[in-house]
Amino acid sequence: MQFAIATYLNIRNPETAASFLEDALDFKIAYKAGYGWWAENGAVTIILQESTTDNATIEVQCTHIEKDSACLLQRPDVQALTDIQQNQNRVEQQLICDCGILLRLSKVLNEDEMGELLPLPSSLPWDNKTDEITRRILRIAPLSFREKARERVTQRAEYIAVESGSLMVQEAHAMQAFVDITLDFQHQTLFDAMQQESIDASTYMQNPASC
Amino acid sequence: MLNILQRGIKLCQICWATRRIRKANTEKTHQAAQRALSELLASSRGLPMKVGQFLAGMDDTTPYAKLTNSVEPWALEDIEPILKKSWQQPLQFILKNIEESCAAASLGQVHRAFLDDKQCVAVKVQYPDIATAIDAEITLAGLMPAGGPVKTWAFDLDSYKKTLRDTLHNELNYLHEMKQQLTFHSTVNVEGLHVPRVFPVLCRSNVLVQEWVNGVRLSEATTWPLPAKLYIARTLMQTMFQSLFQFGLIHGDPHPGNLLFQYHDTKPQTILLDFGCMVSIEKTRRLALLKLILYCRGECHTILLDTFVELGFHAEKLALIEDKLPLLAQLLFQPFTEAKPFNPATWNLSASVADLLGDQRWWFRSAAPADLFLIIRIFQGLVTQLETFDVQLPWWPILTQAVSENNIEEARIWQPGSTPIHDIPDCKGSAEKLHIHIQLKDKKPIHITLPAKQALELENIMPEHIHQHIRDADIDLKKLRSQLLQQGLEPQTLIDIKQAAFHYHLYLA
Repeated sequence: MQFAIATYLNIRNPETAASFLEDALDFKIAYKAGYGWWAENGAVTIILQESTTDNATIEVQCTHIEKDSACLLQRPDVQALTDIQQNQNRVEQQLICDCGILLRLSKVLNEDEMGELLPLPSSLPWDNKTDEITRRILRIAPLSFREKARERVTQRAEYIAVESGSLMVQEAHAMQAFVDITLDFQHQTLFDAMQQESIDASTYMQNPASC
Repeated sequence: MLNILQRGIKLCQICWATRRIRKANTEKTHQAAQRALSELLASSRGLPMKVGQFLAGMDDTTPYAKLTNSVEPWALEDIEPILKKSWQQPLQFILKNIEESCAAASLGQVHRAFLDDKQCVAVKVQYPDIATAIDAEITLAGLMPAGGPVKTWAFDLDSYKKTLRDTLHNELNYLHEMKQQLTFHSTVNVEGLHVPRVFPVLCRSNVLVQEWVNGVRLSEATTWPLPAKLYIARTLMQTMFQSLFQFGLIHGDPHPGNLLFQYHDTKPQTILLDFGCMVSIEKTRRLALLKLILYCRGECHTILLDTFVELGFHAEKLALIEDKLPLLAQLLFQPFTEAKPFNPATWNLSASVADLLGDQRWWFRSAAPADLFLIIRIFQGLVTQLETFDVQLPWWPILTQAVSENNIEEARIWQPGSTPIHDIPDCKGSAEKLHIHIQLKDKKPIHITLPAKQALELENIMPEHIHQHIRDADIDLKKLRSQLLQQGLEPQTLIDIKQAAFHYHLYLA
C-alpha cells in the first residue's frame, strides 16, 4: 500500500487513532510533548490533533483494492461505508474506523482494467481498420512498456508510410513497424497476435515456430 | 539628390519606430508600434518594404503581413506609360484588357490582364525609381542582417553588404527573374507544385508577364483538413530539397506573399511566385551539405572541418571550435536524422547551439560565409511553413524522394579537400584559455573564450578596427608574441585598453 495524506488530522481520541494507524497501516507512532501523537510511515507524517469532532480522512492508494479492503474489513473496528465503486478512471471505497478515521481506498485503473484501447500519438492520418488493429495488437506489450511501444510503433509506421510515398498509414506500414520495433525473442507472440487479427503474419516475418 | 533626402527622412522615421518597438513595455504598445512600422515600411516601398517582409517571415497574421498581402498600389494610369515605353507599342496592341492592380509588392506591382479571350496573365511592373532608391537606401541605412557581438568581433560586414546588394540588384532585373523562373519550371519536378508559365516575348527588364493563377493564401490553407496540409507540406519540402541538392537553384524569398494554394480534392496545388530572389549553390557546396547530412545519419565518414570549409566556412576560425563540430552538426541537421516525423515546434536550434557553444557561437557565425544567411533564411522559411501548417513529417524519406539516388551516392563517396591550417607553434604554459572581453559603451559585454595558444595568433584573429586601438595604445603584438614564446603561456593580462567608448581586455587564464 502507498499512503497519500495531509499532515494534521483532527480527532476526538488521538491515542486510539494512533494505535489504529500503527496496528492496521504499519505507521510508527511517537508521542511528542507539546505536539501530541505523531504517526510516520517513512514517506509521510501525520500529526493527530485532539478535537471535539472527528474530521480525519486518509486516502490509501491500493494496488489490489479488493484484497486490501477485505484485509481491513476483517478487523472488528472497521466497517464499510460504501461498496467498491468505479468513478471514471478509478475505483474507490470508503471505510470508517471506530477511532473516527475515515479511510478512502482508491486505485487508478490502467487501460486494460478499463477495457480501453488508447489512441495512437499519430501525426499522419491512419486507415481506420489499421488504427484499430494496431491498438489491439499493442495489448501484447506489457503495461509498463505499452506507452513507449505505442509511441514507437506509431512513429515507425508513419516513417515507413512516408518512405513508401504515402501520407496515410495502411496495414502494411503498421505491421512492418511492429516487426521492426519488436525484439526477436518476442516475435512468436507478435506473429500469433497478427494471425489472431486475421493478418497473414508471414508476409512481414518468418514464423518463429518454423525456425 | 532630393530622392535620397526624402528616403533618408523616411528611414529616420523607420529607425525611430523600430526603436519604439524595442522599448515597448506592453504587448499593446508593442503591437501598435509594429503597426506603425508596418505602415511606414509599406509606404516606403523598395528596401524598407523588403525588410518589412523579412520581419513578417512566414507568419501571415503579424502586423507586417500587410506588407506581404497588399499595400496601396499605384493607379493604372500611372503604370500604363511605363508598359507602353517598355513594349514600344500601345497597350491595346498587346493586351485585350488590363485591370487596376490589387497587389503591390516591394519592387513593383501586379496587374491582371488578358492577352486574348482566354489567356489571363499577371503583368508585374517595376516602380520606375526603385533601382535608384535601393542604392540610396543601402548607402543611407547600411541595413545589415546582424549586429551585436557578431558585428563587434571579426565579422565580414562588407561581404554581407555585397551579398545583400547583389541579391537586390538581381531582383530588380525582371529578365533575370524570367530566366530563373524558366529554369526552375523546366528543372524542378515535384508533385503538387505549380510554377506559372512566363511569356518571354513580353518580358523586359522592368516588366514580367506570366500566366495568372488563382489561389488562397497560406493563412487560409492552414484551415484545410490534415491530409491536404500534409500534401502541401510534402510539396514544399520536396521543392526545397530538390532545388537545393539536385539543381542548386533555390527560391530564396519564402514569405507568404510568394505562395498560393489551390484545393483539388486529394491533391492540393502549391503555386510558387516571384523568382527574383533565387539563391545559387555551386555543386561542391551542395555535395558538402549533403555529405554533412549523411555523416550525421551515420551513413558515411568525413572530416567535419574540411567539409564545413567546402561549404564556405573560414578554416582558421572554425579550427578553433573543431572539437565541437560533431555535436554542432548533429544539432544543425537534426530534422534529417530523426527516424520519426519531425516536430518543428520542438526544434529550438538557437538555444541548443548557444548551450553547446556559449559565446563561441559568435565565433562560429563569424566563420560562416556571407551568403549562408540566405540559405538559413530558406530553411527557416520551410520550418515556419511546417509549423504554420501544424504538420509533422520525417525529413529524410522526403529528401530521398526529391533527390536522385545518384546525387546521394555522389555525396556519399565525395571527399572534401584537406584544409591547410596555419600551424601554431607549440608553446608550454599553465594557461588553458585565452579570454577576450569586450565592453562597448551602452552595450552588453561580450566574452569570447579560445584555446590559450591562440594568444600567439592575436595578429591574425583580431579584427582590423581593434588593431587600430592596439596601435594607438602603443602595444606591439609581434613583441608580445615573442615574449609569450619565450616565457610560455602563463596566466596574465595581455591587452587591457580602457577608454570612454570601449574596454578591450585580453587575458590568459
